[in-house]
Order: sequence, then structure tokens, then C-alpha cells
Amino acid sequence: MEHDPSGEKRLLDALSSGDPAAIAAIYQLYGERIFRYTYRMLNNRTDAEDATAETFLRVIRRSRDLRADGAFRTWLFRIARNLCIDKLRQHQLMELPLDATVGSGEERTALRIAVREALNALPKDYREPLILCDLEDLSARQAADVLGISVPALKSRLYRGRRALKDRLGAAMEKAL
Amino acid sequence: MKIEDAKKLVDLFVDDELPMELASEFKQAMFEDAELREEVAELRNTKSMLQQGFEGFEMSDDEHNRIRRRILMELGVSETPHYPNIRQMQLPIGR
Repeated sequence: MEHDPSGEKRLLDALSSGDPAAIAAIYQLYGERIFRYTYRMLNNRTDAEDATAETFLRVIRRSRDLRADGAFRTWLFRIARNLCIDKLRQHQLMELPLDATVGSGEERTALRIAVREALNALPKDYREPLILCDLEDLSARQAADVLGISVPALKSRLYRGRRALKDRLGAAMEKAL
Repeated sequence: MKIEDAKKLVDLFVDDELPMELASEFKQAMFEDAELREEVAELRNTKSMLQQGFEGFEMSDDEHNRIRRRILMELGVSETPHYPNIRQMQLPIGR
């Protein structure tokens, strides 16, 4: 998706002035990305759907706080991340298993399952930079803003995360090489 | 570039974040050191496998529509189509 800062600014101005059509357009722009991100965080389509909807509902409720200065995407991801963390906590409290391998028959390939399991097994500090930088293509600066950490800290976690993932993928990796 | 120095720059190289001159020195170091080459290849593979693990994942139409409906409900906007160009018919009452 092409990022058009001036178009996005117009939409955000319209949203903060209470134009309901603007949120539909913003959802059109970012809905799919936020859904993918929340799914990668939660490994559960139902929870991802709920978190995506709630992310945009929070945008509506906080539209007066909006800053149309290019930081919107980071702000959106930060809202989605907080919702995911809440949901993950609920899962832990209720001891609900995450359906890490849920998907269509096609999706159940050995590689996909191995990658998802390896990613889920990583500590949160490593997993999140990998999702934001290597899957969502956010820059180090943007990912650091979403996580509320410095860029050097982000890079350190990202690099360690890659090595931890590489180690966990072990056998699957050997087959691919 | 010393191999020890190159090893500290592996991730920057994999992310294409090295300035051209340094990247060129790094490539030379890779040429000279098999271990460095292997590390670059493994990291590239890890990144690629991670992306493949989630490739082609999309929101279904049902999921998209359900989320859209929740947003519209929050805004109090009806999804009923609006036909502004259709005029209401006049009933022949009192003619």
C-alpha cells in the first residue's frame, strides 16, 4: 500500500472535525494491516477481529487527540498493541490456549506451523520487534515508538530475536537451506 | 574491514542499512570469511522464513464486514442504502 501523507492528513483532519465518512476511509486504509498485526500478536482470528474493531473504535473515541503529523500509523499500532496485550493477559488469567495453528488446510504446512510456534515461543521482548520490523515493515524508529523504547534498544532486541528465532527454527531451517 | 568488526555489522548489512562504502567492505569481508557468509545466509533465511510463515494471510470478507458494521454502529450510521434521487410518490388523496 502506498503511503500518501497529504491524503492521510486530510482524512485525519476530517475525522477530528467529526466527519463519520473519514473513519470508514481510515479503516479502508489500515484495517487489513491492523488485522494482520493483531493476528500475528494473538494467533487467533476471533481475537484479532475483536482487537481490530476495538482499535478503530478507540480512534473514533479519541479523535480529538489526533495529530495529523505523520505519527498516526505509530499511534494506531500502539493502540492495537495495548489491546493485544490486554487480550493476552486475559488468556493467561483464564488459562485459555491460543490456537496457534488455526487456519485453512492450506495453511497447515510444516513450515508455517514451525515458524509460528517458534515465534510464539520467543520472549515478548524479542517477538514484538520481529513482528513490527520484519513482518509489518515498520522502520526501527516507528517500531521503537510503538513499543515505547529507544531505537538502540529496539535494534538490540530485534537482532537478538532473530538469532533466537533462528535457533528455535533449527531443524526446519536445515531443510530449507 | 576486520572480520571481528564485520561480525558486529551483520544485521545492518542484512537490513540494507550500511552506507555503500561500508557495505562494499562488508562484502569483501564475507568473501574472506566463511563463518561470516554463513551467518548472513542464516539470518536472511530466518527473515525470509518468518515472512513465509505468515504469507498470504488476509482478512476474510465476513471479518471485514463485521468490523465495519461495529464501527458504523459506534458512529450511529445506518448501513441502509440511501437513495437521494428517488422522489416520494404523491398519493392521489384529496384530489
